[in-house]
Amino acid sequence: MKKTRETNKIIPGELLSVIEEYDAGKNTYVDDGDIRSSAIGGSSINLQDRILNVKQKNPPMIPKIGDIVVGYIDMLFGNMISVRIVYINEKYSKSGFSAIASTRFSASSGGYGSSWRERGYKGKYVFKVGDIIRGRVCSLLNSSIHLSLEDKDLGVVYTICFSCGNEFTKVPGGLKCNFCGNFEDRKVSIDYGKQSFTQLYDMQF
Amino acid sequence: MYSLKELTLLDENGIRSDGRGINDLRSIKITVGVVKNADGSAFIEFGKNKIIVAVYGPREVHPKHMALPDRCVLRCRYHMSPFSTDTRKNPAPSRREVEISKVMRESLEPSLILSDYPRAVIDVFVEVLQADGGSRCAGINAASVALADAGINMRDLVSACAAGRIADNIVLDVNDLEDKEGDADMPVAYMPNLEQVTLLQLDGKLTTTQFNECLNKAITGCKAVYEIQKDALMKKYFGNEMELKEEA
Repeated sequence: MKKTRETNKIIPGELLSVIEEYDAGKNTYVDDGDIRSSAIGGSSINLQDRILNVKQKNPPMIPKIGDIVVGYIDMLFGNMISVRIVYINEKYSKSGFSAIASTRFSASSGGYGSSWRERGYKGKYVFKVGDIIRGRVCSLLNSSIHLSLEDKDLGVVYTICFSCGNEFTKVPGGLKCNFCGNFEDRKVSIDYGKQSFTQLYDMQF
Repeated sequence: MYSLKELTLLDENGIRSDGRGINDLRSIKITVGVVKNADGSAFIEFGKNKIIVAVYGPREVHPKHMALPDRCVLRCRYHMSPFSTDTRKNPAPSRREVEISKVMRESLEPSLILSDYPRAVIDVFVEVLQADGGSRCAGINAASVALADAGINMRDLVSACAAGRIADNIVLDVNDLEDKEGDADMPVAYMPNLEQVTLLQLDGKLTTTQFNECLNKAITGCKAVYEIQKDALMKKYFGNEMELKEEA
């Protein structure tokens, strides 16, 4: 027996079924016992769980839990940073959503955590305004986008020297300027410098 | 231009000044996705009205203090281009434009599921390129299609149409001349699937019977407009599939 049944060509407001038959799933809503579509797309009925979903053809680009986002730091406050999102899952986003991330990390995620706490660093020394960072959306609690920077592939992906403005090279424990030799502490992504974010860096100013 | 002496809004055969019958709509054409940089857009030709609508969002709210923690903010801007009327219109927002922006927002709001996008904003820009009476209804029709094109979760599309009284007859879809010289004008916005009215305005006087007739006629017009809105969206999103099916 088939587990799903699919139909096409649905626009918002269209009557799909009634609550006695199915549960209202994604992109549907219940109005007076009727299940109606709230999006353009095709309906998909899970016959095992009796859930009616609509697969949206044109979903708006909004960060969801698990999405990988790239953006720049526009504010630092204590142990938190505010990130302006520019790419969602490698797709350019004009929405300009802000997200927040914690600057506390476990030691396993890139050498920080206990080590920088021992050295007496505060969060604001790990990142600077203007850094391009990659993060994963871990929560949408209280309607705010929370990013996690814990994994090795997350963290700073591009920045420039705050002393002379030249490019940095990744070194153990942080970044070193190719020109003036300035060393800066960062939670650096494992692939730092592999992708060029020069344009994105310039865009914020 | 017309002379008031020669003006006949409705002749003895029930033919209106533009050749329509009392139950006829003007010709309507909607094109979806005309503004490249917008998240959703539509262009409507409603008789001689030509209106372009662009929707941006959901996006970050600026200024940030306007953001609502539990739902999205809907902002609507209705604007008439200086060249849209017979005599040049001052491009600054007039009292009428501010009012229409407000009523358009209020007519669209019930159709949107704004709680799905907390702390965000949806901006709707309605630009009238050519006006010939009923531009708020045409703007609402195009805005609703543009919102659906932007992928905003909606309860239903909003269709709008006006009805009015000229020469003691209730007529559908009043044009600019009938609006100015007629006895009453009633724009109505309606969600056809949910059978709910989201906007009802009345300029002029009607008896209870005339009011009911006028409202029913406007709703009939809205239902006809809905079919055109639906076709426009179907053409954009299922165009190829529909053509293949027709060929088969």
